[in-house]
Amino acid sequence: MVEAIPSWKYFIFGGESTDFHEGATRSFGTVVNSACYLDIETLKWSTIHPENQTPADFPDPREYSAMSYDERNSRLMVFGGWNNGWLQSMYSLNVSKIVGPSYAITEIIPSLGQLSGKVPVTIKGCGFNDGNIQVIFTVGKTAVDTISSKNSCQTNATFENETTITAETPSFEAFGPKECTVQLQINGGDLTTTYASFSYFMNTRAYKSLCYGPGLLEDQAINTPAEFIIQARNDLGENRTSGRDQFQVKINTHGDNPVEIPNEIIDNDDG
Amino acid sequence: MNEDKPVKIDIQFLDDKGKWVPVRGSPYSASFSQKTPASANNLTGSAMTKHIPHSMERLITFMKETLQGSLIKDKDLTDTKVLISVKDNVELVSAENDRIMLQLDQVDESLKLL
Repeated sequence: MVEAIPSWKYFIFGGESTDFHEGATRSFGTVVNSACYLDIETLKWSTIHPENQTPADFPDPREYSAMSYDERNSRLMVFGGWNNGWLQSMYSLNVSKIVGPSYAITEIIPSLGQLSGKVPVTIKGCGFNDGNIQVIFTVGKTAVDTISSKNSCQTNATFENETTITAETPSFEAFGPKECTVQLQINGGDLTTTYASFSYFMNTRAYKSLCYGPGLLEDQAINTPAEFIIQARNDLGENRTSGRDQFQVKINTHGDNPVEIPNEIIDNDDG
Repeated sequence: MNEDKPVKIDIQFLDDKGKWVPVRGSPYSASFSQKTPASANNLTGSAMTKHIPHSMERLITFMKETLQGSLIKDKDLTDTKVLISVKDNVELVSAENDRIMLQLDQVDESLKLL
């Protein structure tokens, strides 16, 4: 049993395999050399298919092997076992992509930002430590094992505490306004097996945006708050559907001694 | 605001280069009147319900006039004054394009409020 984030994994290797029908006489099965794991949370069994390895690299089929987990290198260590005689060989199997690193990401706040990047984000998770923290944004909705410049970009992050880091989003203009996954890598270790989702949207453009409402009309009532709406729009002239854009409004009376009228901007987070 | 005074409303947006830039149509002008009831200041109040049809009427009038002035059918194009008139109308439409588009967008968005 190996501790992993978000759920523990139960590994098995080798053993004897056959079909045992209930009530029927049991016979000997076939000794195998496959490795499988059970996700303790989902209770789903999966067979491990080691990458870049041929059957010749696999251990011989065996049963009764001793197995332990090398936490430092994320390896399963298999020693000995029985196959018509006791075996003395030792094998290791890297399961880092299944177990994942000792850190995990659970959330990114906010979960959307402009295409040009530079949006301050707070990333929540666990097991963070101070070091070279990279945040990887990848096009798509599934986590990746490796970073590829074809569909990913990354940025440095700042360690705040074990559960919080902060960063600024990188520009995603090379990929366009898309949904992406956010993963972490600390000190060159493995990418997190968990991820958070982030959406890039087209930047707001002042020359496409507009304002309207009674607060911009003639003959408003005095001593009464007057409202108007600022509608943010993107390059395509489409209404934005989220907030956090920054606007400032200055209202002054005309004349030689203009008086500034106080105002309040409310972000409805809907564009 | 407690006086019958016109005001200038300057609306700026912080763009992706960190620069404050005016939002389309800014600065706007507005004014206040003691005769206007408080309910007129509401987003769906009487000021807006009067303003929207008025805006649409102005836009329709502008389009009709400039369309009429820009058409060359049934006009004597050998007459220099006629040609200049057509040219002026085309230039007016071009010059007023941004303002007209803003008004159309404002009417369109305002209608969604009601």
